[in-house]
Amino acid sequence: MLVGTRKGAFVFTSKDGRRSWKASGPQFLGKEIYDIVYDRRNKLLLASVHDGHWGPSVARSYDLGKSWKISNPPKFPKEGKDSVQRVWNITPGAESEPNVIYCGVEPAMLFRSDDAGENWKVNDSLLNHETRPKWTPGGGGLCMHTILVDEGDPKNIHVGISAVGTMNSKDGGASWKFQNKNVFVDFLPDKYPEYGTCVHKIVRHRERPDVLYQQNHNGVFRSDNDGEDWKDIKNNLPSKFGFPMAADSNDPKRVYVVPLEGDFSRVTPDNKFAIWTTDNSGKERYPLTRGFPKPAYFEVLREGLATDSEDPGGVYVGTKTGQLFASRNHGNSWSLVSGVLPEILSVSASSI
Amino acid sequence: MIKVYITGHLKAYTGHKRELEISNTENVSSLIRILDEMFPGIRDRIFDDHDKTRPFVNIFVNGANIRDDANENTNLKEGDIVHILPSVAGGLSA
Repeated sequence: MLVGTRKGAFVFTSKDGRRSWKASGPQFLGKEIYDIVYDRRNKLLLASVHDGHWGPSVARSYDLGKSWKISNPPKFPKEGKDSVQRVWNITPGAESEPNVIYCGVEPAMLFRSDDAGENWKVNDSLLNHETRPKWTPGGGGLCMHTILVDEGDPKNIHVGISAVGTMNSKDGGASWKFQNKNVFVDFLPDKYPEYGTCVHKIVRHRERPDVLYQQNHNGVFRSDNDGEDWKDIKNNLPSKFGFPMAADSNDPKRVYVVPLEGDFSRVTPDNKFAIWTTDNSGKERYPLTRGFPKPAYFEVLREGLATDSEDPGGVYVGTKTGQLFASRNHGNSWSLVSGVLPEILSVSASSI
Repeated sequence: MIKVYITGHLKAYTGHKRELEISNTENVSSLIRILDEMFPGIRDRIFDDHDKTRPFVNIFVNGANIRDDANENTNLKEGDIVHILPSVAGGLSA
């Protein structure tokens, strides 16, 4: 389990079927770790390391964090005005493209590496997209926080940008179009704009790649046609607002969200900490609370929720106040892994 | 010879040397380029994507901030002393 925090990265390992966890770290003490992931194809750890003075970087480790090397960082072309402020997301590509890795940065842009993260190249089509001068940031900045690569068709790529929306490329990033049809916004006069929606996270159905789920500032949505249009599936959730979203590894109909009261009050509703899930693709939702303290006033950030690929599926959640919880039964019960971490920015999990 | 003093995070790039001596450099921009040849990657910590000094990094030449001179084009000559320092910053999210 890889945990990025406001003050460094922590690695938690389990050798007893995820019953107990041993912590190591922090790596990059004092640095903000916006994302840290394990690339199973290359047995490679990648971390987004941000220093308020010295800027953003991507670090790589081939020995599970014993040693790190800083890559040649993603950079905007010199003829423009933009400069990379943060690396928000690192996403390994498909199995069939073992050296391809993507990262999403602020200001919103997609970079691709063809050498497992050593060097990065900006996506020219997105850089020159005709609407880009009109993109406006959400509260967290103009960030590209989500990158989805279709495992069966690596040229099919979705990205999520706050507060621009979902964009899709069918040709490996050579061209892009918006995919925000029927996504509601309450902060613009046009309630269903082509772009300008505030997507917070997107996940792909693991067995049906044409099915996408989206946690948005203004709702929870599902698409059954690879993002061509969306329908609101908030249904009985206590709030439409939240940030993270994760898909279960075994049950394709099961997705997890962490509703917050709203943008005005970013804690889980009713003084209860709950991960909400569904067993029927979002038609009905129910809270998972067993093992969480009560009452609780937690907030979970965008990358703070993750699943693994084990059976039964593991679910992991880290809070903004430094509590890290794990479940090894699809979220049906939870245990506290650590309660003393710094603000948790990202969580991911993988077998090694 | 130009003396260059660095601090903190940058020492990770210089093998923990705090004090360097550089010769044959015209201005701050070329100084940072030479440093990057000696210590690959250090330029990316000091400069942004457009080779401008990062907002929370200060470079002083003989005690004067280059932002009060010619920024990265500030001239250097033999005997100059350069400090590369993080600015005083922090608080809300740091």
